[in-house]
Amino acid sequence: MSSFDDLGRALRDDAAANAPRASVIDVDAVAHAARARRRPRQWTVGTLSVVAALGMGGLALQAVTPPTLIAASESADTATVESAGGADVLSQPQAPETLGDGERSVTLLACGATAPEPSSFRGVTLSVDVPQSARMADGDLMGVATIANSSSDTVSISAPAGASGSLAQGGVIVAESLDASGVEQPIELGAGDRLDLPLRVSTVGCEGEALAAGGYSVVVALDVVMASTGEAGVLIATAPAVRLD
Amino acid sequence: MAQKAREGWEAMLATLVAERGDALLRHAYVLCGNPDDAADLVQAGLVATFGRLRNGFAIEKAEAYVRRAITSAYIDRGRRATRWRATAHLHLTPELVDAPDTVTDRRLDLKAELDGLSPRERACVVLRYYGDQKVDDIAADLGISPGAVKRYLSDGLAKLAASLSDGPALTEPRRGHA
Repeated sequence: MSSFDDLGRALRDDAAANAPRASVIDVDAVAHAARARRRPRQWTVGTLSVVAALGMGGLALQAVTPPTLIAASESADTATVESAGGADVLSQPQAPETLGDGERSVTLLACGATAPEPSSFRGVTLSVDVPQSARMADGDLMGVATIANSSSDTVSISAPAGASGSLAQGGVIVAESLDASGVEQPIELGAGDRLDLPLRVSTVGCEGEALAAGGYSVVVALDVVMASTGEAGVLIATAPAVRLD
Repeated sequence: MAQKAREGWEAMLATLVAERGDALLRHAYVLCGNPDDAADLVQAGLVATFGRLRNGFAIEKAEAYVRRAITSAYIDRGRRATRWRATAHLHLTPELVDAPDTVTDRRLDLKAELDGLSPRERACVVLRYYGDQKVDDIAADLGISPGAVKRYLSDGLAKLAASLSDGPALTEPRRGHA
Protein backbone atom coordinates (compact mmCIF):
# COMPACT_ATOMS: atom_id res chain seq x y z
CA MET A 1 0.00 0.00 0.00
CA SER A 2 2.16 2.77 -1.25
CA SER A 3 -0.23 5.66 -1.72
CA PHE A 4 -3.66 6.86 -0.87
CA ASP A 5 -4.76 6.36 -4.44
CA ASP A 6 -3.95 2.71 -3.84
CA LEU A 7 -5.96 2.82 -0.66
CA GLY A 8 -9.02 4.05 -2.50
CA ARG A 9 -8.49 1.51 -5.25
CA ALA A 10 -8.07 -1.31 -2.76
CA LEU A 11 -11.30 -0.34 -1.03
CA ARG A 12 -13.19 -0.22 -4.30
CA ASP A 13 -11.77 -3.55 -5.47
CA ASP A 14 -12.64 -5.17 -2.18
CA ALA A 15 -16.17 -3.79 -2.28
CA ALA A 16 -16.69 -4.84 -5.88
CA ALA A 17 -15.54 -8.36 -5.13
CA ASN A 18 -17.12 -8.96 -1.75
CA ALA A 19 -20.06 -6.65 -1.13
CA PRO A 20 -23.44 -8.35 -1.37
CA ARG A 21 -25.79 -7.60 -4.26
CA ALA A 22 -28.98 -5.61 -4.03
CA SER A 23 -31.03 -8.78 -4.15
CA VAL A 24 -30.28 -9.29 -0.45
CA ILE A 25 -32.31 -6.20 0.40
CA ASP A 26 -35.81 -7.18 1.41
CA VAL A 27 -37.75 -4.22 0.05
CA ASP A 28 -41.04 -5.46 1.48
CA ALA A 29 -39.56 -5.74 4.98
CA VAL A 30 -38.03 -2.27 4.67
CA ALA A 31 -41.33 -0.79 3.52
CA HIS A 32 -43.13 -2.55 6.34
CA ALA A 33 -40.75 -1.17 8.97
CA ALA A 34 -40.77 2.30 7.39
CA ARG A 35 -44.58 2.34 7.43
CA ALA A 36 -44.50 1.50 11.14
CA ARG A 37 -42.21 4.46 11.74
CA ARG A 38 -44.29 6.86 9.72
CA ARG A 39 -47.60 5.89 11.30
CA PRO A 40 -47.14 7.49 14.76
CA ARG A 41 -46.64 10.93 13.24
CA GLN A 42 -49.75 10.49 11.13
CA TRP A 43 -51.67 9.51 14.26
CA THR A 44 -50.28 12.47 16.15
CA VAL A 45 -51.51 14.90 13.51
CA GLY A 46 -54.93 13.25 13.50
CA THR A 47 -55.14 13.19 17.28
CA LEU A 48 -54.18 16.84 17.58
CA SER A 49 -56.87 17.72 15.08
CA VAL A 50 -59.50 15.82 17.01
CA VAL A 51 -58.42 17.34 20.31
CA ALA A 52 -58.52 20.79 18.79
CA ALA A 53 -62.01 20.15 17.44
CA LEU A 54 -63.34 18.81 20.70
CA GLY A 55 -61.78 21.53 22.76
CA MET A 56 -61.74 21.59 26.50
CA GLY A 57 -65.30 20.27 26.67
CA GLY A 58 -64.20 17.02 25.19
CA LEU A 59 -61.24 16.75 27.51
CA ALA A 60 -63.44 17.40 30.50
CA LEU A 61 -65.82 14.70 29.30
CA GLN A 62 -62.96 12.23 29.12
CA ALA A 63 -61.98 13.07 32.66
CA VAL A 64 -65.34 12.16 34.15
CA THR A 65 -66.21 9.12 32.04
CA PRO A 66 -64.67 5.67 32.43
CA PRO A 67 -62.31 4.47 29.70
CA THR A 68 -64.55 3.49 26.86
CA LEU A 69 -62.24 0.85 25.46
CA ILE A 70 -62.40 -1.37 28.53
CA ALA A 71 -65.51 -3.52 28.68
CA ALA A 72 -67.44 -3.49 31.92
CA SER A 73 -66.68 -7.17 32.40
CA GLU A 74 -62.98 -6.36 32.57
CA SER A 75 -63.22 -4.20 35.64
CA ALA A 76 -62.57 -7.18 37.91
CA ASP A 77 -59.38 -7.99 36.02
CA THR A 78 -58.36 -4.40 36.32
CA ALA A 79 -58.66 -4.37 40.06
CA THR A 80 -56.87 -7.68 40.39
CA VAL A 81 -53.89 -6.57 38.37
CA GLU A 82 -53.57 -3.29 40.17
CA SER A 83 -53.62 -4.97 43.54
CA ALA A 84 -51.08 -7.52 42.41
CA GLY A 85 -48.59 -4.82 41.60
CA GLY A 86 -48.35 -5.70 37.95
CA ALA A 87 -48.63 -3.28 35.11
CA ASP A 88 -51.05 -0.51 35.81
CA VAL A 89 -54.25 -0.94 33.91
CA LEU A 90 -55.60 2.03 32.08
CA SER A 91 -57.55 2.46 28.93
CA GLN A 92 -56.28 0.30 26.13
CA PRO A 93 -54.71 2.47 23.44
CA GLN A 94 -56.04 0.34 20.66
CA ALA A 95 -54.26 0.44 17.35
CA PRO A 96 -56.34 1.08 14.27
CA GLU A 97 -58.15 -1.86 12.78
CA THR A 98 -55.99 -1.62 9.71
CA LEU A 99 -52.97 -2.86 11.61
CA GLY A 100 -52.16 -6.53 11.38
CA ASP A 101 -51.09 -8.74 14.24
CA GLY A 102 -47.56 -8.08 15.30
CA GLU A 103 -47.56 -4.50 14.06
CA ARG A 104 -49.28 -2.89 17.00
CA SER A 105 -46.58 -3.04 19.67
CA VAL A 106 -43.90 -2.01 17.19
CA THR A 107 -45.94 0.99 16.16
CA LEU A 108 -46.67 2.06 19.70
CA LEU A 109 -42.99 2.09 20.62
CA ALA A 110 -41.67 3.78 17.48
CA CYS A 111 -39.49 6.85 17.68
CA GLY A 112 -41.43 10.04 18.17
CA ALA A 113 -44.62 8.32 19.30
CA THR A 114 -46.34 9.37 22.47
CA ALA A 115 -45.36 6.86 25.14
CA PRO A 116 -48.36 4.56 25.65
CA GLU A 117 -49.93 4.06 29.05
CA PRO A 118 -49.58 0.66 30.73
CA SER A 119 -52.37 -1.75 29.96
CA SER A 120 -53.40 -5.39 30.22
CA PHE A 121 -55.58 -7.40 27.88
CA ARG A 122 -58.33 -9.82 28.86
CA GLY A 123 -56.66 -10.77 32.11
CA VAL A 124 -53.18 -11.10 30.65
CA THR A 125 -50.72 -8.72 32.25
CA LEU A 126 -47.18 -7.63 31.59
CA SER A 127 -44.71 -6.30 34.13
CA VAL A 128 -41.08 -5.35 33.71
CA ASP A 129 -38.12 -5.14 36.00
CA VAL A 130 -35.05 -3.21 34.90
CA PRO A 131 -32.44 -3.00 37.66
CA GLN A 132 -30.49 0.22 37.53
CA SER A 133 -27.20 -1.65 37.63
CA ALA A 134 -27.97 -4.20 34.92
CA ARG A 135 -26.11 -3.02 31.86
CA MET A 136 -24.58 -4.72 28.89
CA ALA A 137 -21.06 -3.84 27.83
CA ASP A 138 -22.50 -1.79 24.99
CA GLY A 139 -24.63 0.25 27.38
CA ASP A 140 -27.95 -1.45 26.70
CA LEU A 141 -30.22 -1.92 29.67
CA MET A 142 -31.11 -5.45 30.69
CA GLY A 143 -34.11 -6.69 32.58
CA VAL A 144 -36.96 -9.15 32.68
CA ALA A 145 -40.44 -8.89 31.21
CA THR A 146 -42.98 -11.10 32.95
CA ILE A 147 -46.25 -12.12 31.33
CA ALA A 148 -48.94 -13.48 33.62
CA ASN A 149 -51.97 -15.14 32.10
CA SER A 150 -54.77 -15.00 34.64
CA SER A 151 -57.39 -15.59 31.99
CA SER A 152 -59.03 -18.96 31.33
CA ASP A 153 -57.68 -19.08 27.80
CA THR A 154 -54.38 -19.91 26.20
CA VAL A 155 -52.71 -16.89 24.65
CA SER A 156 -50.17 -16.57 21.90
CA ILE A 157 -47.49 -13.92 22.32
CA SER A 158 -45.35 -12.53 19.52
CA ALA A 159 -41.85 -11.78 20.70
CA PRO A 160 -38.69 -11.92 18.60
CA ALA A 161 -36.25 -13.91 20.77
CA GLY A 162 -37.29 -12.02 23.86
CA ALA A 163 -38.79 -8.68 24.67
CA SER A 164 -37.43 -5.34 23.65
CA GLY A 165 -38.34 -1.99 25.05
CA SER A 166 -38.14 1.65 24.23
CA LEU A 167 -37.03 4.58 26.31
CA ALA A 168 -39.29 7.56 26.82
CA GLN A 169 -38.63 11.01 28.17
CA GLY A 170 -41.26 13.66 28.63
CA GLY A 171 -43.89 11.22 27.41
CA VAL A 172 -42.27 10.71 24.01
CA ILE A 173 -40.33 7.70 22.74
CA VAL A 174 -36.72 8.81 22.30
CA ALA A 175 -35.01 5.45 21.76
CA GLU A 176 -36.49 2.35 20.24
CA SER A 177 -35.18 -1.16 19.99
CA LEU A 178 -35.64 -1.79 16.32
CA ASP A 179 -35.80 -5.39 15.22
CA ALA A 180 -35.37 -5.18 11.49
CA SER A 181 -35.45 -8.94 11.06
CA GLY A 182 -39.20 -9.10 11.45
CA VAL A 183 -38.79 -12.66 12.71
CA GLU A 184 -41.14 -13.42 15.54
CA GLN A 185 -41.61 -16.70 17.33
CA PRO A 186 -45.14 -17.10 18.75
CA ILE A 187 -45.08 -18.30 22.34
CA GLU A 188 -48.05 -20.19 23.74
CA LEU A 189 -48.92 -19.41 27.36
CA GLY A 190 -51.56 -21.52 29.06
CA ALA A 191 -54.21 -20.29 31.47
CA GLY A 192 -52.71 -19.43 34.84
CA ASP A 193 -49.13 -19.60 33.55
CA ARG A 194 -46.39 -17.03 33.91
CA LEU A 195 -43.47 -16.47 31.61
CA ASP A 196 -40.27 -14.49 32.07
CA LEU A 197 -38.67 -13.09 28.93
CA PRO A 198 -35.23 -11.52 28.78
CA LEU A 199 -35.59 -7.82 28.11
CA ARG A 200 -33.11 -5.62 26.35
CA VAL A 201 -33.47 -1.89 25.92
CA SER A 202 -31.33 0.14 23.56
CA THR A 203 -29.85 3.36 24.87
CA VAL A 204 -29.18 4.72 21.41
CA GLY A 205 -31.38 7.65 20.47
CA CYS A 206 -33.68 7.89 17.49
CA GLU A 207 -31.05 9.72 15.45
CA GLY A 208 -28.34 7.21 16.29
CA GLU A 209 -26.90 9.38 19.01
CA ALA A 210 -25.99 8.35 22.54
CA LEU A 211 -28.75 9.50 24.85
CA ALA A 212 -27.92 12.34 27.17
CA ALA A 213 -27.57 11.65 30.87
CA GLY A 214 -30.84 11.86 32.70
CA GLY A 215 -33.92 9.97 33.74
CA TYR A 216 -35.86 7.84 31.27
CA SER A 217 -38.78 5.46 31.58
CA VAL A 218 -38.69 2.02 30.00
CA VAL A 219 -41.77 1.10 27.99
CA VAL A 220 -42.37 -2.44 26.80
CA ALA A 221 -45.19 -3.66 24.57
CA LEU A 222 -46.04 -7.17 23.41
CA ASP A 223 -48.72 -8.39 21.03
CA VAL A 224 -51.01 -11.12 22.28
CA VAL A 225 -53.72 -13.19 20.65
CA MET A 226 -56.36 -15.14 22.56
CA ALA A 227 -56.28 -18.72 21.30
CA SER A 228 -60.00 -19.45 21.47
CA THR A 229 -61.32 -16.25 19.93
CA GLY A 230 -58.42 -14.97 17.89
CA GLU A 231 -58.87 -11.61 19.54
CA ALA A 232 -55.68 -9.55 19.41
CA GLY A 233 -54.45 -6.99 21.88
CA VAL A 234 -51.38 -5.31 23.22
CA LEU A 235 -49.78 -5.62 26.64
CA ILE A 236 -47.94 -2.53 27.79
CA ALA A 237 -45.85 -2.05 30.90
CA THR A 238 -43.48 0.55 32.14
CA ALA A 239 -40.58 0.26 34.53
CA PRO A 240 -39.69 2.86 37.12
CA ALA A 241 -37.44 5.56 35.76
CA VAL A 242 -33.91 4.52 35.00
CA ARG A 243 -31.04 6.93 35.03
CA LEU A 244 -28.42 7.07 32.31
CA ASP A 245 -25.02 8.47 33.22
CA MET B 1 -54.39 11.36 -0.64
CA ALA B 2 -52.61 9.32 2.05
CA GLN B 3 -52.67 6.26 -0.17
CA LYS B 4 -51.20 8.27 -3.03
CA ALA B 5 -48.45 9.64 -0.79
CA ARG B 6 -47.61 6.17 0.47
CA GLU B 7 -47.32 4.91 -3.04
CA GLY B 8 -44.96 7.78 -3.75
CA TRP B 9 -42.36 6.99 -1.15
CA GLU B 10 -42.71 3.24 -1.58
CA ALA B 11 -42.19 3.56 -5.30
CA MET B 12 -39.09 5.65 -4.68
CA LEU B 13 -37.83 3.04 -2.22
CA ALA B 14 -38.23 0.26 -4.78
CA THR B 15 -36.55 2.34 -7.48
CA LEU B 16 -33.69 3.32 -5.23
CA VAL B 17 -32.98 -0.27 -4.24
CA ALA B 18 -33.20 -1.44 -7.84
CA GLU B 19 -30.97 1.28 -9.26
CA ARG B 20 -28.61 2.08 -6.41
CA GLY B 21 -28.87 -0.93 -4.12
CA ASP B 22 -25.52 -2.36 -5.18
CA ALA B 23 -23.78 0.97 -4.61
CA LEU B 24 -25.37 1.37 -1.19
CA LEU B 25 -24.24 -2.11 -0.22
CA ARG B 26 -20.69 -1.41 -1.38
CA HIS B 27 -20.70 1.79 0.68
CA ALA B 28 -21.89 -0.12 3.73
CA TYR B 29 -19.44 -2.93 3.09
CA VAL B 30 -16.34 -0.75 3.06
CA LEU B 31 -17.56 0.87 6.25
CA CYS B 32 -18.13 -2.33 8.19
CA GLY B 33 -16.05 -4.87 6.27
CA ASN B 34 -18.63 -7.61 6.54
CA PRO B 35 -21.24 -8.59 3.91
CA ASP B 36 -23.90 -9.58 6.43
CA ASP B 37 -23.46 -6.44 8.48
CA ALA B 38 -23.50 -4.41 5.27
CA ALA B 39 -26.93 -5.75 4.37
CA ASP B 40 -28.18 -4.97 7.87
CA LEU B 41 -26.77 -1.45 7.70
CA VAL B 42 -28.40 -0.76 4.35
CA GLN B 43 -31.78 -2.00 5.51
CA ALA B 44 -31.49 0.02 8.71
CA GLY B 45 -30.51 3.08 6.68
CA LEU B 46 -33.45 2.63 4.33
CA VAL B 47 -35.89 2.22 7.21
CA ALA B 48 -34.51 5.27 9.00
CA THR B 49 -34.70 7.35 5.85
CA PHE B 50 -38.03 6.25 4.43
CA GLY B 51 -39.59 6.22 7.88
CA ARG B 52 -39.26 9.99 7.81
CA LEU B 53 -38.75 11.09 4.23
CA ARG B 54 -41.45 13.22 2.72
CA ASN B 55 -42.45 12.95 -0.91
CA GLY B 56 -41.00 15.08 -3.62
CA PHE B 57 -37.34 14.21 -3.21
CA ALA B 58 -35.23 13.31 -6.18
CA ILE B 59 -33.78 9.86 -6.02
CA GLU B 60 -30.25 11.28 -5.78
CA LYS B 61 -31.26 13.21 -2.69
CA ALA B 62 -32.88 10.14 -1.19
CA GLU B 63 -29.72 8.15 -1.84
CA ALA B 64 -27.65 10.79 -0.09
CA TYR B 65 -29.93 10.57 2.92
CA VAL B 66 -29.64 6.78 2.97
CA ARG B 67 -25.85 6.91 2.72
CA ARG B 68 -25.75 9.31 5.63
CA ALA B 69 -28.08 7.08 7.63
CA ILE B 70 -25.89 4.06 6.86
CA THR B 71 -22.81 5.90 8.07
CA SER B 72 -24.59 7.03 11.23
CA ALA B 73 -25.81 3.50 11.90
CA TYR B 74 -22.31 2.15 11.39
CA ILE B 75 -20.79 4.68 13.81
CA ASP B 76 -23.48 3.94 16.34
CA ARG B 77 -22.93 0.20 16.14
CA GLY B 78 -19.20 0.71 16.27
CA ARG B 79 -19.59 2.65 19.47
CA ARG B 80 -21.28 -0.38 20.96
CA ALA B 81 -18.39 -2.59 19.92
CA THR B 82 -15.70 -0.43 21.48
CA ARG B 83 -14.75 -3.03 24.03
CA TRP B 84 -14.31 -5.75 21.40
CA ARG B 85 -12.39 -3.42 19.12
CA ALA B 86 -9.90 -2.65 21.84
CA THR B 87 -8.71 -6.25 21.60
CA ALA B 88 -9.49 -6.86 17.95
CA HIS B 89 -5.85 -6.84 16.97
CA LEU B 90 -5.27 -9.76 19.31
CA HIS B 91 -7.88 -11.81 17.46
CA LEU B 92 -7.04 -10.80 13.92
CA THR B 93 -3.27 -11.01 13.82
CA PRO B 94 -2.58 -13.13 10.72
CA GLU B 95 -0.29 -16.10 10.93
CA LEU B 96 3.25 -15.20 9.94
CA VAL B 97 3.69 -17.67 7.12
CA ASP B 98 4.87 -17.18 3.60
CA ALA B 99 1.91 -16.82 1.29
CA PRO B 100 2.16 -16.86 -2.47
CA ASP B 101 -0.68 -14.44 -2.99
CA THR B 102 0.61 -11.13 -1.71
CA VAL B 103 -2.40 -9.29 -3.07
CA THR B 104 -4.67 -11.38 -0.88
CA ASP B 105 -2.34 -10.82 2.05
CA ARG B 106 -2.49 -7.09 1.58
CA ARG B 107 -6.27 -7.18 1.34
CA LEU B 108 -6.46 -9.11 4.58
CA ASP B 109 -3.99 -6.73 6.19
CA LEU B 110 -6.02 -3.76 5.03
CA LYS B 111 -9.23 -5.25 6.38
CA ALA B 112 -7.58 -6.04 9.69
CA GLU B 113 -6.12 -2.58 10.01
CA LEU B 114 -9.37 -0.92 9.06
CA ASP B 115 -11.08 -3.01 11.71
CA GLY B 116 -8.64 -1.55 14.21
CA LEU B 117 -9.73 2.02 13.53
CA SER B 118 -12.36 3.72 15.61
CA PRO B 119 -15.74 4.05 13.90
CA ARG B 120 -15.27 7.75 13.21
CA GLU B 121 -11.71 7.25 11.96
CA ARG B 122 -12.84 4.51 9.62
CA ALA B 123 -15.85 6.48 8.44
CA CYS B 124 -13.65 9.47 7.65
CA VAL B 125 -11.09 7.34 5.81
CA VAL B 126 -13.77 5.55 3.81
CA LEU B 127 -15.70 8.68 2.93
CA ARG B 128 -12.47 10.42 1.93
CA TYR B 129 -10.77 7.70 -0.08
CA TYR B 130 -13.61 5.46 -1.15
CA GLY B 131 -16.31 8.09 -1.49
CA ASP B 132 -13.83 10.76 -2.63
CA GLN B 133 -15.65 13.31 -0.53
CA LYS B 134 -14.16 16.59 0.57
CA VAL B 135 -13.43 17.23 4.21
CA ASP B 136 -16.22 19.78 4.50
CA ASP B 137 -18.72 17.35 3.03
CA ILE B 138 -17.60 14.61 5.40
CA ALA B 139 -17.96 17.01 8.30
CA ALA B 140 -21.50 17.84 7.22
CA ASP B 141 -22.40 14.17 6.85
CA LEU B 142 -21.06 13.22 10.26
CA GLY B 143 -22.20 16.35 12.03
CA ILE B 144 -18.73 17.25 13.24
CA SER B 145 -16.32 20.06 12.47
CA PRO B 146 -13.91 19.97 9.51
CA GLY B 147 -11.09 20.14 12.02
CA ALA B 148 -12.33 17.02 13.71
CA VAL B 149 -12.52 15.25 10.35
CA LYS B 150 -8.91 16.18 9.64
CA ARG B 151 -7.89 14.88 13.03
CA TYR B 152 -9.72 11.58 12.49
CA LEU B 153 -8.18 11.26 9.05
CA SER B 154 -4.72 11.98 10.40
CA ASP B 155 -5.06 9.49 13.24
CA GLY B 156 -6.63 6.84 11.02
CA LEU B 157 -4.03 7.16 8.31
CA ALA B 158 -1.22 7.05 10.85
CA LYS B 159 -2.55 3.76 12.15
CA LEU B 160 -2.87 2.37 8.64
CA ALA B 161 0.59 3.58 7.71
CA ALA B 162 2.17 1.90 10.70
CA SER B 163 1.50 -1.55 9.32
CA LEU B 164 0.77 -1.14 5.65
CA SER B 165 3.66 1.00 4.53
CA ASP B 166 5.68 -1.36 2.45
CA GLY B 167 6.42 1.48 0.09
CA PRO B 168 6.81 5.21 0.55
CA ALA B 169 5.50 6.59 3.81
CA LEU B 170 1.80 7.35 3.87
CA THR B 171 1.00 10.97 4.26
CA GLU B 172 -2.19 12.77 3.48
CA PRO B 173 -1.67 14.34 0.07
CA ARG B 174 -2.71 17.92 -0.39
CA ARG B 175 -5.52 17.94 -2.90
CA GLY B 176 -6.22 21.60 -2.97
CA HIS B 177 -9.50 21.55 -1.11
CA ALA B 178 -10.64 21.62 2.46
